[in-house]
Amino acid sequence: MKSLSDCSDCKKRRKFNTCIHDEDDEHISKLSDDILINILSRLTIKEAARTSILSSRWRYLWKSLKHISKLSDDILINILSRLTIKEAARSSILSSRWRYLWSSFTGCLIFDNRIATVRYPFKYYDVESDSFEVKLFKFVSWVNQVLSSLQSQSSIEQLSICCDISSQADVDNWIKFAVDKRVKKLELDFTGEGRCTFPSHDIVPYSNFSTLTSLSLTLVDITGEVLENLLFHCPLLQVLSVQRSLCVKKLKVSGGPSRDLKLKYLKLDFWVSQYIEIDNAPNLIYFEYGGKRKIPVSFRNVPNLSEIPGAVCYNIPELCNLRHLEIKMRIEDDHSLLPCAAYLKAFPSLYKFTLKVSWPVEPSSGMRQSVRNHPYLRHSELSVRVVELIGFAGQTTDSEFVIYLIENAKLLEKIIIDPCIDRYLGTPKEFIFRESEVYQSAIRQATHLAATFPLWDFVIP
Amino acid sequence: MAIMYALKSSDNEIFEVEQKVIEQSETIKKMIEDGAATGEIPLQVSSKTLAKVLEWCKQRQHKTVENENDDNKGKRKKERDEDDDIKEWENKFSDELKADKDVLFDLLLASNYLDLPALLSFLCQLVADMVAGKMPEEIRRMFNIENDFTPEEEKAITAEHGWAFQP
Repeated sequence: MKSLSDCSDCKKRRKFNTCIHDEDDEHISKLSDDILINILSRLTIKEAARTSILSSRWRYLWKSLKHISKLSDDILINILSRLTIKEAARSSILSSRWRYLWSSFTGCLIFDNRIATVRYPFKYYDVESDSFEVKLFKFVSWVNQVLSSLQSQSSIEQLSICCDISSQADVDNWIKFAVDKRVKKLELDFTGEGRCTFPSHDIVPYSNFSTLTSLSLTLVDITGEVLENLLFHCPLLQVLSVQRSLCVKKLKVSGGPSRDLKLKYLKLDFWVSQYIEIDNAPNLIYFEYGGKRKIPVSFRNVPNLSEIPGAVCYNIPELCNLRHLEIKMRIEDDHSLLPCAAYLKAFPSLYKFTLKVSWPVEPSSGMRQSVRNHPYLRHSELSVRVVELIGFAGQTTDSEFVIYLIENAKLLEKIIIDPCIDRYLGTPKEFIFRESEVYQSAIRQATHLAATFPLWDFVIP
Repeated sequence: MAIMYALKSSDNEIFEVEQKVIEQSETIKKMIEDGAATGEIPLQVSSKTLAKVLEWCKQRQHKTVENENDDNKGKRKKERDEDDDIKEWENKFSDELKADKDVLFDLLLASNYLDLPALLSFLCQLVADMVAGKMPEEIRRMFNIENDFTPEEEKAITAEHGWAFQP
């Protein structure tokens, strides 16, 4: 570090003072105020203030300097809140004005101790350092110290705590802090051996939690009732992710009769034993249920839902404007085509439907039977007019699917069938495949279908 | 024809500005709505700073108008190009401000006074980025903050929030 006397600013000042005290100081007084202020701005505030004594002209010149100290507390707190809490707290040492500014921090509080507090499988991993319990204790007391040193009236953008859990009392306090601080984003990840529970409305009233927009819980047990309560008290909630909670019997995600949910993203990765109901969530785009057991999920009024990864659900939300639907799938068994039929039913304006299939196993039969008997698909009227089947194998399953479409889609005009496997199209394999016996037999089946239903326009290569 | 307004800086310079550009400022918008803005609108902002403020507002205005005129065709690509352009413009804008901290702080005060939340947020982030990762001594030097603590006081503060000063 440079000593004060080495500072280039000071050198400049010395030169500049001599200059001013020169008997013939004509040249500096000729300079405009702007230029003088420009010169002053290159000094420290202390040195600039000292120039006030030079002459009456200099008396207030330095006051035109806009140093950071001219900014209001609000602006400085705004700046500090964009730093990490650690850096913000470090500003307390800058000067007496900055001493307590950071305690009005409103930014993101992120406490992540995953690495330090992971229980090592090898006991003697690091004999020198603190034991797991000591590290965890230190971490938790640090979190509590920081939380308690923040001003009570300020709000907080985000609270994220990630560690192995120490006690339920800490968890209750953290959630109470989040509620009191009107946190917008709350993330708790207690990956470890202990278990804790999300406190109910009676322990920590959620009535002040109306600012919450994102809630993510990992390994925090939560009951269906508490989740529903949270959805009720947090009308702005857009993201809800609950992972590895204990079993919930049933869950109703609903905005209630008079209120729409703001919820856009919903990820539930735990075991729901009975059913999930999603109702009145017009903003929902993404829904993922990762529970091990398939359970019924019912949707009502979810017009924007567009991503349902991994889910085979038979009651699909209605998408009124969809014109063309393309599905690629592997047919594993007789029931594999059921979701297709369900999708077709869900899109009342569908014009064209393209299905590209591959067959890892030879399916048996019974497709039409299962479509007919399926509770969601009985007596359905489909709007589709053009159906395209790529990879048609002429098996009972896909033939029956075509028959199902003919029976249920009153407006169906055109059926395009190509037995070629989708991934071969446009490659040299296409020509080889089109010579094969498998292909020829599928063509024969398709031609047979076309002959059975002469009123429909079949397009077969 | 676009409606023009005349803004008068604290050093009596007049700026002719389109209504749409200047209405981004909630303060001026309110003045216009209240009918207080007949003739010149006097502002407690220097001409140098006001010029910068208007530079920002025009850039923002440009962006929103272009988006309105777009149809869907090729929008994605255009948006990407635009994003790049804006990034480049913002980088240039922030480099100028970093070099001249007087203007930076003047602009911060002006954005607060004129109620331009986007500019305020942009500038606060800029200062925060300048502060991040620096030691207290560097920050003091960068922003001319006078250390008025005695070494004892400094020690006490460091001890009180020890966690903040650990690497």
